[in-house]
Amino acid sequence: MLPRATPLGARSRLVREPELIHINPASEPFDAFFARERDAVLGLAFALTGDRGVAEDIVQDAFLEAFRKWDRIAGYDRPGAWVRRVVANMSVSSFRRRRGELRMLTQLSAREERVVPDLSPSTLAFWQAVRSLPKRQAQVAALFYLEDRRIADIALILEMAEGTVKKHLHDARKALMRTLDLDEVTDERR
Amino acid sequence: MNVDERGRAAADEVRRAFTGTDRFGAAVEIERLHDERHLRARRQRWRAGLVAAAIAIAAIVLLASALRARSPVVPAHQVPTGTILYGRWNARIQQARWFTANVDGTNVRDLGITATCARWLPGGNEILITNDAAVTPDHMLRPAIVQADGSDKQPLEGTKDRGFNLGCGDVSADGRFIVLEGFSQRGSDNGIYVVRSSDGGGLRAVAESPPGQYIGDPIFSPDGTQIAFFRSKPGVSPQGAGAIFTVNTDGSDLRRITPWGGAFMDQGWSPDGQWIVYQRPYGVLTLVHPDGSEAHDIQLALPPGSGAENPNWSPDGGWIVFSLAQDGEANIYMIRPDGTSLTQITTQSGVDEQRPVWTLAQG
Repeated sequence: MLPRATPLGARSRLVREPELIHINPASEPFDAFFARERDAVLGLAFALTGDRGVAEDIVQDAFLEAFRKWDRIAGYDRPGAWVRRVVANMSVSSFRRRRGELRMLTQLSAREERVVPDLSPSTLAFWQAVRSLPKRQAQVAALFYLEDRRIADIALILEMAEGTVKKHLHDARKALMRTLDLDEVTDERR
Repeated sequence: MNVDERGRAAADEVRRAFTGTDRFGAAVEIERLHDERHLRARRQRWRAGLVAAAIAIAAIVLLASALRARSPVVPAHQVPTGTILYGRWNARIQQARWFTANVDGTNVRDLGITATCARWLPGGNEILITNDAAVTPDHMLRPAIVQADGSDKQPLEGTKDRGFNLGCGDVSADGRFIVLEGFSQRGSDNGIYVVRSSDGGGLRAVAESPPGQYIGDPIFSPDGTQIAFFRSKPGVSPQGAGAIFTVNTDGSDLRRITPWGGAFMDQGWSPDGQWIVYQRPYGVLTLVHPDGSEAHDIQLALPPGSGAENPNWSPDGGWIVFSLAQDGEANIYMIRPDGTSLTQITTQSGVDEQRPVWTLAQG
């Protein structure tokens, strides 16, 4: 579900949220928005899929959708949140993409080799553990760690109540601690 | 190290890996996005023009089609009866819209179902589908059963694991069990599973796969004692290829019946149980006994650049129905198992039709 567009007069609400985008999106060209957001969104898609090729496809689709609807999306408070929500939801539905990719191969289309980023075993293990979480927990954990998002931001991106985000983050931390044999966090206030 | 410190270190590394990359740089991608948007706008203008032209010639086309006799490749008396279920793949949403048609290509019906997979139940009165429409971040993929006309969807929710998906599958000949591909983001429990067809419960694994490998497209043998499925493996060439396996329905006697790299997804088991037809990558229909012996290609002269995929059998075993793909488009065809009598079933142009399944029941 798309976020509601907010009249410019209501934009003062943003001032209290320093983590969020301050640029007036209505006046920002799509190209600038894309250049600013692309790498971060690609990292989010990779964290949630574990496959750079799939992540690139998802990001391409999400930005194309934003581009097609830019007249409308540019008027939202946070176009970046819209793209992240689309990417987060598409990233946890990679089953259909996998099947679609296999189907493309049989139609004799040549495909270039996928590139796997050079990441340490420790980092790969961490994101593998995140992907093994239930979907909502995985989305919350990816946004929390990768983008250093606050609870309020994550709630806005995923269209959840802040209390729900806190619960998912708490459960995700517990599960990650067990899986990776890590220490407990003493301060979970963020 | 606590979990947040580890998470931030892992995040830093990913951010560095995805910052300012050249190969998939923003400049190239933004150009691609502009091109794609312009292409779509042009297509919309074309469509508007085409609609106007189509209205103008509709009467002529209807008259011509009413008068034109169909020209089958084989004599009419040899054309078998029944109904073909098949999907039209939508690349944008990575799912198919499902249709039925008579074996002679007439009576095409849109069932109104959008799903990754669909397959007749024995008897042809009902269809097993993947219930993609019900998938949300908090609700995993499950099977459902619909009537032959696409109505009255009955979700099969008997398996409760919230992190586990049940995808494409097949129903046993006695109608009691469904075999499905199971997978999760965990990856550790990807495999082939059997559930009850009454409610989708009673989940039990019959074959498992290492994480990161594709395992799927399970089918029952006609006597219900075995299951055949496809599995891929990293490093196998050509890309995306794998092998066909068989396993007893109790999980015993797992066997690989084709070489690694010798098969591609989707296969069909002949009604007499003697043969499995599959696609040798890319686009070559091949037959093999379920014990892996006597593998041989079906000699079939296809246009350059085209490929045959998703083969399946007619209920009498006299025909193989499949999807013939060329230049991103595909229609449904059938042939004799000896490669003769190639016959086109569906004729809609500009579509990508796939995964045909044949029932004797008339639509």
